[in-house]
Amino acid sequence: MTAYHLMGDGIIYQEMDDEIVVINLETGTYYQLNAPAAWIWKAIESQIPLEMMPAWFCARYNADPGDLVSPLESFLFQLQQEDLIAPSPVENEVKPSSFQEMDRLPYQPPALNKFSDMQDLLLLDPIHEVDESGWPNKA
Amino acid sequence: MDLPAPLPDKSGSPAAAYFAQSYQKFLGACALNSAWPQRCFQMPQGVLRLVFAHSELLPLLTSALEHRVLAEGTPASLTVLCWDCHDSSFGLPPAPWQHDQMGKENHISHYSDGRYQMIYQTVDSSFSMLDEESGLALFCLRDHTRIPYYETASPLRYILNWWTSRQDLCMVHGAAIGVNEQGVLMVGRGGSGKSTTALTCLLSGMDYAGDDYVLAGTAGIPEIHSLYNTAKLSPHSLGMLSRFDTRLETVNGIDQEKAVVFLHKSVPERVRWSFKLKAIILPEITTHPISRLTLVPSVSALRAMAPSTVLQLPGSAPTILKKLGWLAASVPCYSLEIGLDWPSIPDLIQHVIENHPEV
Repeated sequence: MTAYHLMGDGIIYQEMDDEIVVINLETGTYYQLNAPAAWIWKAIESQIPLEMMPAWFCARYNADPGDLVSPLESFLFQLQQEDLIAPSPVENEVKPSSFQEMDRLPYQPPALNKFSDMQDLLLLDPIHEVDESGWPNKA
Repeated sequence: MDLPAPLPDKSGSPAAAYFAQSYQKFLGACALNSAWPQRCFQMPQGVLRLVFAHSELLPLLTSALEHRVLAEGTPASLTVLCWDCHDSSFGLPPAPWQHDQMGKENHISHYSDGRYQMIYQTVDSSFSMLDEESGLALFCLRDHTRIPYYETASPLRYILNWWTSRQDLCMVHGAAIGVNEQGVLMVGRGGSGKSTTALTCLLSGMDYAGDDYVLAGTAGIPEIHSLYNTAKLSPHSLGMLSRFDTRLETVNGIDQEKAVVFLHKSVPERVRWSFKLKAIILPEITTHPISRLTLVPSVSALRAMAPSTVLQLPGSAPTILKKLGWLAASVPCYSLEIGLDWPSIPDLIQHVIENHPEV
């Protein structure tokens, strides 16, 4: 089975109002995940295998698991393209019966909104030399 | 003069060694002069004491904090030793780190741990170091005659940010204005209208706590604390404020992209130390005829303030993000569409402050 893990270094996130704000400290790019996307993010956090994600998703949203395969794979691909997640081996067995039952919400597709307007806050790292006084010098 | 010394560190870490060596450089710079001016300030984090090896540095690094000045000699929680190394004899020791150990914005993450934080800013050639256990920090400029205006407007911001890490406080990139000891925090990317809105409210008679960085309490009753009494203004905004007070003192000329004004010198009665936070506002400049306030989810406020805060203030990013989450959830959040009727904005904001229930 296939699972994913959240990329550690340089990626921070905070949940709020059932959504998640993610910031990439290396690139200055930040994201807002809508509630369904945040639910999938939690699945990744919990190391839920890809094969069980439809069941995980349907524990929260009113949808047919068979209809979720394509949007889930597309969303996970998007997260990978943004270097937010990466594939990893399944370490712990997870059973769908362990997914907590709850009142299900109307289906919405997961969405990742990307923002790149803060990238200019990050200085490019042009330093290649340190002079004899200890000050870094630009190349 | 009684100067604090770093507490012993037997870890043998490169950070500890570099801090100790740099401290000796400061002492060497002091030996060139017969007097080492000091200033003490009551900051939200505690009493801050600045000690200068050269008197020329004092006005450059204290004017923005002047509204919080205390009597010299007040016992301090944090002492910052400041010098410049125009005379390279007392410049920084040769850096032990390599190019690939410098993080973004030159936060030297390799030498930042629970006790030490260090950052180089190549753009303005300044170096900040904090030894949290000793209550001691070092700030070194390569050449004080070339200090950029934003360093004078928001001095020692990295050190002040790191100082909050173990307290229920968080530095925020934002502006704050208020009335009757209550106020709002305005957040958003550069150019969203924070400074212009803060200035408009100041001109209307409201109180001011900052337009670039402020400190937020992140436990209990939400509060905003001022750090700097400066306002960064475009030439147009400076013209607006000049009609209000002709005693304005600017750091740089109005032909620069931004002029920095020390409001404590011209309108000290308007610069507040702190007030209770009633709402977070996300301004946006529009061409609508009428300005409008709209309630928005807390996640919108978090998205507006978190990236610019954590990306401009390296160190403890996960902790800062968590604190900002608390802040965004603690009060109502509004978007403010700034229309062509911008003189009406203070009334809108005052309405939010005075009519929202106690949080």
